[in-house]
Amino acid sequence: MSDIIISTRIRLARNLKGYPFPNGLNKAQSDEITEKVRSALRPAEKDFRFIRLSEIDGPTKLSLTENHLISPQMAESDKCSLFLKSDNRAEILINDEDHIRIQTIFPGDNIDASYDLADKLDDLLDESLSFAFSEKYGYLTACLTNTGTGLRASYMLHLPMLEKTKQIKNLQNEIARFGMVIRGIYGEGSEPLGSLYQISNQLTLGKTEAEITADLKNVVNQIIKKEKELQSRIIKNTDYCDLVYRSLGILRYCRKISSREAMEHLSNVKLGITSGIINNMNDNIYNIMVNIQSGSIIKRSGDMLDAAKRDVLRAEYINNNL
Amino acid sequence: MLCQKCNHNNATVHFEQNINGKITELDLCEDCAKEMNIGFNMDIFPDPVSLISNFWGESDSLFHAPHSSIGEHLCPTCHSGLSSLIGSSFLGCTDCYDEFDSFVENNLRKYQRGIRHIGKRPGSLGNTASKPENRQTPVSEADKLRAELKKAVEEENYEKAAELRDKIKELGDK
Ligand SMILES: [Zn+2]
Ligand SMILES: [Zn+2]
Repeated sequence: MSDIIISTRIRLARNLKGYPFPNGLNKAQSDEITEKVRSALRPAEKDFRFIRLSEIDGPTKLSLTENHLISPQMAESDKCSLFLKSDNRAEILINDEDHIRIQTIFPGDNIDASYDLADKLDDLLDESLSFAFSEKYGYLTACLTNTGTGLRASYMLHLPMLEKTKQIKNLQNEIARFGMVIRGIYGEGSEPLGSLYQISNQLTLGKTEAEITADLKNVVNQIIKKEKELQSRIIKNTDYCDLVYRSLGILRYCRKISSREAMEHLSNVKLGITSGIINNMNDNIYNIMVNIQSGSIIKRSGDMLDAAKRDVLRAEYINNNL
Repeated sequence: MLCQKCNHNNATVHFEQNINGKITELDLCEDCAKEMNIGFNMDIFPDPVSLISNFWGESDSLFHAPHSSIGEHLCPTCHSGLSSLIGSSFLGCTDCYDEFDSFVENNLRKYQRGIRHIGKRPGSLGNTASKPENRQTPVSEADKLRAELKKAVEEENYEKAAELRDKIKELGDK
């Protein structure tokens, strides 16, 4: 049922009084903030790993980016660091756009669990840090698009049929009216790879956290209903069955494959599994998608490989894991 | 060209600032320029760019006071001035919210739906919204729209009512 939902995420933005926002921080100030967060987090110390982005190597950075744990801009900054929870379900980013960003991510349909964990971490930090807060505007953030709750809730969805029937654009306009936004996860602009989309709230002020997540949930449920309905119509369709099995064949027997081509076929196979065209197959497709990105391949091999070598290792990984 | 601040009068004052190599340009009408103190003694100093680089001479003070034009009111904490904030959704520090309150409020109206925070609060100020008992019965978007619809009907504003009814239908939360 929830195989269309890949994951759910929560982000809370918080800032400290008396410092410029990260964009204007000097090194000494950014170190000071890092230390404050570190000591506030001490009670949960054993669950978190501290990573200073200026101190880790390129492949690790790339892999953190591809796993959406840090943004590409963050990877380039020497002020940023993060505390990563050992199960990778939570992280506290320091000196990204805001001084502190608490982020949680859960696989599947778990928006409430994601919020609860973020909320707890916020409570913990709140005990010893004094966050910038105004009675009028709530939590104060670097960008006015996050002011108030500082909450960004999002779902990652696999929407191959809405994409193939060219309805994403429509959807974009529809949900914009409710203060929500949809965008592709991998790839640039209008051509997202793997039919993976993120849907999140844009409005952060004037609603409670519960209202924001409830409204988002409501909209997401309707999108899923629509996608399911489209998928239910293709089970007996020869063109779609051919598309799905052709992709499965390529992925199982290819000897080299680019990331773009792999994403396309993996998405088709995932569509095959969720729609019921393919039976008896484990849906570990998203996992494979993450693991065949260049950074992950380089990290596994421990070598800075060129594109041709990556394509070979990518094919090998897919052959073995599909 | 229209003034970039009020979008109403013709822009007559061109202003440039160079922040660590990044050049920000502003075209303002005389009123707005005066309000922001940008036109200040413009005749005597016809080239504000060179004026600024002289004024903030050393690289160190350039770092601490990059976001400003001469004479304009600056946030005491981060030294941002209104001229650097216009056209952007970003502020310099949390104190900017107080320093530039009307700018903040206008922009929040643009980016957000409400301009009053009703969510979670820091524990020291009495945390309410995050408590589970306050979270169980959220007011959904649909409920809010239904309340608006009722009001619109009472006011005999049928055009708005029809629009709201369509929105509620699309939300599908019956
Ligand atoms: Zn003007
Ligand atoms: Zn400021």
